[in-house]
Amino acid sequence: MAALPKRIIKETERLISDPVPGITAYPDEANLRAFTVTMNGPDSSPYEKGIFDLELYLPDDYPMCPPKVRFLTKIYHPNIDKLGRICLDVLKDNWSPALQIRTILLSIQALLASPNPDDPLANDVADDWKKDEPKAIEVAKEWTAKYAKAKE
Amino acid sequence: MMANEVITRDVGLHNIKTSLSNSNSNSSLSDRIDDVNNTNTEDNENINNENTNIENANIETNIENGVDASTNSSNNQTNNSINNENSNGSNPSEPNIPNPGEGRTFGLNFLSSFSPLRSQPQSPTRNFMSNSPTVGNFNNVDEDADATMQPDTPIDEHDIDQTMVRDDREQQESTPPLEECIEEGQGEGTHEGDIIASNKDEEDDGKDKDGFYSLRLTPLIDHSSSNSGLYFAPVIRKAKSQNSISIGRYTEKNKSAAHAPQGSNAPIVFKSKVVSRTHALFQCNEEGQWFIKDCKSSSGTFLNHIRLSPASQESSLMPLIDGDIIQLGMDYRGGTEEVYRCVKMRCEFNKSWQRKVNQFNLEIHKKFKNLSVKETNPLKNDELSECAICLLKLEPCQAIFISPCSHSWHYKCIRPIIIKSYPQFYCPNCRSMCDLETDIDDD
Ligand SMILES: [Zn+2]
Ligand SMILES: [Zn+2]
Repeated sequence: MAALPKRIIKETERLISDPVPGITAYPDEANLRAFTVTMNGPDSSPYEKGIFDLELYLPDDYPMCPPKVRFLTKIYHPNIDKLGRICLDVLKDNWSPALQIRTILLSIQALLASPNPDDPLANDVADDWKKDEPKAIEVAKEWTAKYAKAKE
Repeated sequence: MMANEVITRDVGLHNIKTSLSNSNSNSSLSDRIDDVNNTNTEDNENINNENTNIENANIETNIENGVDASTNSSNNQTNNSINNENSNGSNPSEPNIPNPGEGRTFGLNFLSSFSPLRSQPQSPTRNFMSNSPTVGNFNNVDEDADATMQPDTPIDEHDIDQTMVRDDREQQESTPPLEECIEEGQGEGTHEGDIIASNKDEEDDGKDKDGFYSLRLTPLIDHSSSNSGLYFAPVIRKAKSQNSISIGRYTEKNKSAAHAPQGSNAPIVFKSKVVSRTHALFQCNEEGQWFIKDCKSSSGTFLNHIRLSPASQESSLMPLIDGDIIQLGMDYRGGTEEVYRCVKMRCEFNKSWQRKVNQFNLEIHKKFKNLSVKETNPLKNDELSECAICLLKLEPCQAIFISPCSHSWHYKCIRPIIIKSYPQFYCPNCRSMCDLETDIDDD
């Protein structure tokens, strides 16, 4: 495998020495481009107290291309589908190489705090959300309690 | 178009040549060239000395009269030489129809008087006027336009430019030693420290602390030409005096040499079939003067487009100077296939390519930092001196690109983004859209 670019080394060092509150990200020993991420659900959101697992992968042309990020923990959210794929502009067309793993994870955390059913990835969830928001929020809380439990 | 170019060049060259003969009174231009063709080192040195004198003279005028006055005086000089040149040129009996080949070598030697290495007496084997006037030479002038630019620039500005350059030189020489510069400037980077440390280890003649001399070869790339020689990553080699470094074709046997670390003394190998297995060698003497020798190659070794020896014959050791262009072999089958391309490379010696961080570099870096957007937040300010793409610091002596929105990156880092959508530039930091083809007005 090609040598790891200095940028990735630098980002990794900073993520570990100066972690983002409520988020952890560690590279896999076998592949330093693959990160195991945990994210606390933001306070006063349906995901509060949940701890979500994600995987993040830096493709070969990173940072010219965005990292690939996916939720591993099941989550009920209009912008996240069954496979954990995330609909977020900065992960697609609005990616900029000046963004980093850190900023991307913060954006995802912000997406949990403010779901956007008008730009859905999971259409059925978005429909539920638009039809009956209080009920959808209840389901999201149930899922959080059921799937996003802190590990013992 | 071509003819036009020739003419401008000739005027420029004559200008220099005639002003040289002016300073040395009577000998005419063609005499001079003949003299030099007769080859002796004395003559060579003579001309170098002359150049130095002129240089000194100009600097003195600068000091005495201030820049304006000296500019005027050099203009006058130029006018004189043009007149002389015209009268020379109108004399049909003079067989000195100038040719670019001659001019080019002259130009190089003219420049050579600036560098301490080049002012070393050249060995008689390298007759600096021996370049026969060929089309090859002329091409060489083209390729080498940068190096010979000064003697070729239009007459009016020519002398002014020269004096300005010398002025700078003077100033730079009188700047305090490097360590002080760094302390004064914001030399916080460990990187800068490293550079300085390594420079300190060097002696004046370019020998490093372990007594090695070094050379660097970079491919001559011309993107405007369809066949620009074999591409290779720059090669750095080191050797002690009297040791040689061989140049040859890449084979299974010498595979490891292709991946030898920079600064080793491994052979230099190229993946080209026009390069012989044992093609040529580099050698260095006690004074740090590097030489090249053709080792009976079949397709030839060319130094500044002159073939060193006929096929399968060994050449003598030819002295080299910074900027020399060496070509191994000739394109075969039009060089359309990579493996049949000749190798064209530019040489640099004894770490001349390692630029030292001087006061000028630091000042410019400081100014450049001020050009960037000012942030009140000290944390953000720190980020400003960092390239958002590689996350490393922007340091003096690095190629840096500043976008119209005042964000900046290493040129190397931002280049993929610049070329992707040129002339539109979408700033990765602030997401403003900039037009890199905006007219440049001076208002
Ligand atoms: Zn950079
Ligand atoms: Zn910008």
